[in-house]
Amino acid sequence: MCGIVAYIGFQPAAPIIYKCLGKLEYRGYDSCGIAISNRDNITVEKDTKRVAALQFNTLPLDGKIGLGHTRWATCGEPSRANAHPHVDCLHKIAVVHNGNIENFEELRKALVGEGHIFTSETDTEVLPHLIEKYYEGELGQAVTRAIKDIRGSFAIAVICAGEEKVVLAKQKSPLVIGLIDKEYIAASDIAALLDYTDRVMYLEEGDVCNITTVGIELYRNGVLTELTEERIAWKPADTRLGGFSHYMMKEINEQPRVITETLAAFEGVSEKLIGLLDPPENRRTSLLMVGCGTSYHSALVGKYIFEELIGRPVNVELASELNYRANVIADKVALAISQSGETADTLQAVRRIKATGCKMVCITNVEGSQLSRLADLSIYTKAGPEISVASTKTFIAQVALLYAICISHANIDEILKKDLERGLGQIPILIRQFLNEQSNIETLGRYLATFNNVLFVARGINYPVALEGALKLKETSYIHGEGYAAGELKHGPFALLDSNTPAIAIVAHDRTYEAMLTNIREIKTRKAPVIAVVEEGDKEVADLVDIVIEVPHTDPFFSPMLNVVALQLLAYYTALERGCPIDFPRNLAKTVTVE
Amino acid sequence: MPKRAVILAAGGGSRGRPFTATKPKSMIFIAGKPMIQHVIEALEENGIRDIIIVVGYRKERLCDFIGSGGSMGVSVNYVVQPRQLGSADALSCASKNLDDPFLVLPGNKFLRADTLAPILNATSPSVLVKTVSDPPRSSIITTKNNRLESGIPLERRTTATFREKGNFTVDTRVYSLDRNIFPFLEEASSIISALDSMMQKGLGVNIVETSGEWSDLIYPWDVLPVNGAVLKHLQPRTAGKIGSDVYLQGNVNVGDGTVIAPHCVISGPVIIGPGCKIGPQVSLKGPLSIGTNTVIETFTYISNSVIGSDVQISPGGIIEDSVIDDGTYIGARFTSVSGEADIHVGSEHYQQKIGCMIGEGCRLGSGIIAKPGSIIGNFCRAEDLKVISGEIPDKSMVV
Repeated sequence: MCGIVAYIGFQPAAPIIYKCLGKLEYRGYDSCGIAISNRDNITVEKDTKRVAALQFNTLPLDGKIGLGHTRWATCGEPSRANAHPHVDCLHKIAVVHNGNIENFEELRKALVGEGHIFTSETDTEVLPHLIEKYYEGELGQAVTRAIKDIRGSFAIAVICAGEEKVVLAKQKSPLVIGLIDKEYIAASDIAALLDYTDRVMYLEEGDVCNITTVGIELYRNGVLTELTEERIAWKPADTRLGGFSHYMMKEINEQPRVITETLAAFEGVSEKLIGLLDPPENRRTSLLMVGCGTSYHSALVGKYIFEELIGRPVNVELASELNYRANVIADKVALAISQSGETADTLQAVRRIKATGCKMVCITNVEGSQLSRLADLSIYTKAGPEISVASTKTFIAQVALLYAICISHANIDEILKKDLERGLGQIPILIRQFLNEQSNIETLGRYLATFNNVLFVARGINYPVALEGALKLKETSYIHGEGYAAGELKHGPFALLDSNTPAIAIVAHDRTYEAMLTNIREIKTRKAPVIAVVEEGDKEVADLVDIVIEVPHTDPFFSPMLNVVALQLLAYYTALERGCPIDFPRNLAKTVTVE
Repeated sequence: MPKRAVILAAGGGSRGRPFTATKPKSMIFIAGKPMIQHVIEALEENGIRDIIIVVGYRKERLCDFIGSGGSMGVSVNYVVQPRQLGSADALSCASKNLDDPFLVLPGNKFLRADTLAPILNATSPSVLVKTVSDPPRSSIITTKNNRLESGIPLERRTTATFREKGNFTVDTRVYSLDRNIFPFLEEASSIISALDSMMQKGLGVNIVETSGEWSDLIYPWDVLPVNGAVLKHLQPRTAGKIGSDVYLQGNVNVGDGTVIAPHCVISGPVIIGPGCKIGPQVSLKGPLSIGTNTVIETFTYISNSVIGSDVQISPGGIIEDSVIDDGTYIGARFTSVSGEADIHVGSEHYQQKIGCMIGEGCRLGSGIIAKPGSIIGNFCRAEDLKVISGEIPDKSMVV
C-alpha cells in the first residue's frame, strides 16, 4: 500500500515528483524514494524518511523523466534497501509499485536461478528483473510481457535509461494520469495532481500505457485505444493547512460546511435512490452495508437510522470479514461506504456482492474512484480531500447522507419528515455553536493524556459513536481506547475498571437515558473517573459524573453528529498533549489499498 | 505597484451583533460569499494574488472557508493577532512578512476591483478616500491639496451630531504603505492615526480619491445596502430544477440542485444558493440573497433581504428588509414587515427603515410578528403567537 508518481516533460522532474509525493503520504510514509533518468543513467535517492526530509538535490537536475514512491511496508520491513524505486541488475530499469505480487516467491527463485541479483526483501523487486529479462530494446513491450507472469495487484511506473518514456501498467490498484501541455504526471491519486492540472485520465484494469513527450499510447486489452480525458472538480488549495496547526483540526472545523454542502448536493439523486435502495417487495429483508474502520462505524449509525425510521433490518459487515465468508447473503441491493473509494477490502467485498446479482450503491468522497466506477449508483460526500489519517469530516458527511437517504424515503409520515428535515438542517449550525463555545475539552485532553486505557460507553444510536471515539483516541494519541455498548460492561470489561481507567459515557436523551444513568452509577461504584458527553443543562448526569462535556440540544436521533465532534476534539487535544504526530500516526496510512 | 496585500480581518465587531457574535464581520455572507471573498476577488482582478490575512476573533470560521485561497486564484497566508487591539496592532503583527510597497485593506468593507484601481499606482504612503454624503463620524478625515491634513477622525475633533450631512472625505481603510509605517504603529491605535503621526513628523501622506463603489458594514442593518450593491452586478444563471409556471424577471441566479416548485414569482436581482427548496407559490423580490440548503415553503413573500444557509421558513411568511442568519427555523405565518424603527445599540440610537434581524440557530414558533427594528440574537427560541420587538439577547427564550 503505497503512493507512486511518475513525471515526463520538459521541466526538471525531481522537484515536481518531490512535491507530488508529499500529497500522497496519506497512503504510507515508512520510506520514500525518487529515481531520475538522465540520458543513459538512472539515479536513485531513497531512504526511510518522510518525504519532506528526503534529500533530492543529489539527483541530476536536468533529468526530465522520473519516478517517485512513498511506502507503507507490506512485504519486507521499512528499510533503505526495501524502499522504492527498485532497479535491475544493470541499473538501467527503475520501477515503482503499489500493490501486492502474490507469486513473487516463485518468480524470484526462477530469476535468481537465471543469475539475477536481488538486494531487497520486497515483492516489487521481481519487476525490474523480469522486465530486464524480457527487454529487447523497447520498454513498453518488455513491461507488457513481464506483467503476464505476475499474479496479484499492481499499479506500476517504469523508466529505462536511454529511452525517453514512462511506461505504466495497472491491475486492481489505482493509477491516474494528469495531462498538462507536453507534460504528464501519473499518480496513485488525483490529490497529487491538483496543483498542476484538472485534466486527467483514469487507467482501467489491465491497461498498459507508454508516455512520451509527444503523447500517450494506451493499450487496452492489447489494442491501441483512444484515451478519454476527464475534468476534476477539486481545487488545488484544498489540500493545504490554511491557517490551522493540523489537518485534523482543520477538518474538524470544516464539518458544518461539509454537512451543508453534502446535503445540498444530495437532493438531486434522491428519487432514483429510493427505487434502488428500497423496492416495495423487499422492505422486510435486510439491507447489507459494508465498510472498514471509520466507514464501518458510519454504517453502524446507518443501521440504527434505517431500523428506527423505516423498520428495515440492516446487516452491517466489515468488508475484510465478508471477503472470507463462505456465502455472501445479500438482498437486491447493498450499500458500500469508503472515503477514498479505493479501500481494497471494500472493493473486494463489492465485487463479491455484485457477483451474487445484487445492485450496489456506494457512498464515497472521491468521484471517479474505483468504488464509484464499480457501483450502480454513487452518492458523494462533498467533504473535499481529507488529509488527516484519522477521519473526521468524512465520517460526519457519510452519516449525514445516511440520515438524508432515510428521511427522503417515501413511506415516512409527512409531518415527521418535516420535523426530521428541520432537525437535520440545524445540525451544521449546532456543530458551529459547539465548536465556538466548548471550553473544557482542551483541559480534558491534558487530563486524559495521563492514562493508558480509556473506556468509551454508550447505548443505542450513540453506540457506534463510542466505537468511533475509541478509534480516534487510538489513532491519534496511541492510548488504548475501547468502545463498548454500555449494557455489555458487566459481561467482562468491568474487570478492567479502576481509578486508573476513566470511562467516557455518551448520554442521549432518548429511551436509553435511564439505562445509561444506571450504567454510569455502576462505573462510579468501581471508582473509575467518568467523563460524560451530555446535552447542555443536563443536571442529573452532571451531578453523577466527574466532568461533563456539554453539547447543544438537539433531537437525540441526530445526537451522534454532535457527540462525535466532542470525541474528535478530545482525541485531538489528548494527542496534542502527548506530542503525537496527529495527522500522520505511526504504522498507519490513510487509504488501505492492500487486503 | 504593490504585489502583496494584507487584509485585516481579526476584529470582533461588537456593533454588528448578533451576526458578529459567532463569526468575524468579514465572514458575513452577502450574495453567497463572505464579505472578505468580495475583497479577495477585487484584489485578484487587479492582479494581486499574494495575500496575507490577519485573523483573530473566531478565526477558525474564516480559515476554514478561505483556506489557502486556491479556489479564488490567489495564495493566502495567515497571521494571528492574539488580542484585538485595533488596526495598527493588527498590521504590525504582519510586519515580518511584508516587503515594500504593500496594500492594506479591510476585510469587512464592500469594494470592487475598480474601487482599488486609483491606489495601485499611487506613491506610498497613501490613503484611498471616497466622498460620501452621510458617513459615520469615525471615518471622516480632512485633506488638503491631495495630502492628508488630519487623520484624527472627526469623532474625536468635534462635538457635532452623530452623522454629518454634506460631502465628507472618508477613509476607506485601504492604504498603500511601505516599511516606514512600522515605527509609527506602536503608539497608534489605528493605521490612520499612525499616518497622522507620520504627517506630523513632516512625512507627506498622499490622498487618492476613488469613484468606485465602497460601502461600510458596521451595524447589522448595513447588510442590506451592501447586499443591494453586490447584487447590482449579479450574473443570471439557472441550474437545478425550475418547475412549471415559474416567472423569473430580472437577474436571477439559481444554484445547483435547487428546486423551485411551480407558480413561484421571482423578480431579480435574486441569488439562490445550491440545494434549496423554494415554493410552490412563493414570491421573491430582489435584492435578495439566499444561502445553501435553505427551504422556503409555500405562500411566503420575501423582499430586499439576506437569508442564510440551512434556514427553514414555514408557509405563509412575510419578510421585508430583513436578515436571517444560518440554521434558523421560522414557523408558519411569520411576519416581519418593514417600517421606520428606532434602534438602540449601546448608548447610541439610530433610525432605520428596516424589518428584523435574526441570528443563527433560532427556532421561532408559528404566528410570530417581529416588529420593525427587532434584533433577535443567536440560538433564541420563541413560542407561538409572540410579538417580538427591541433587542433579544443570544440564547433567550421568548415566552
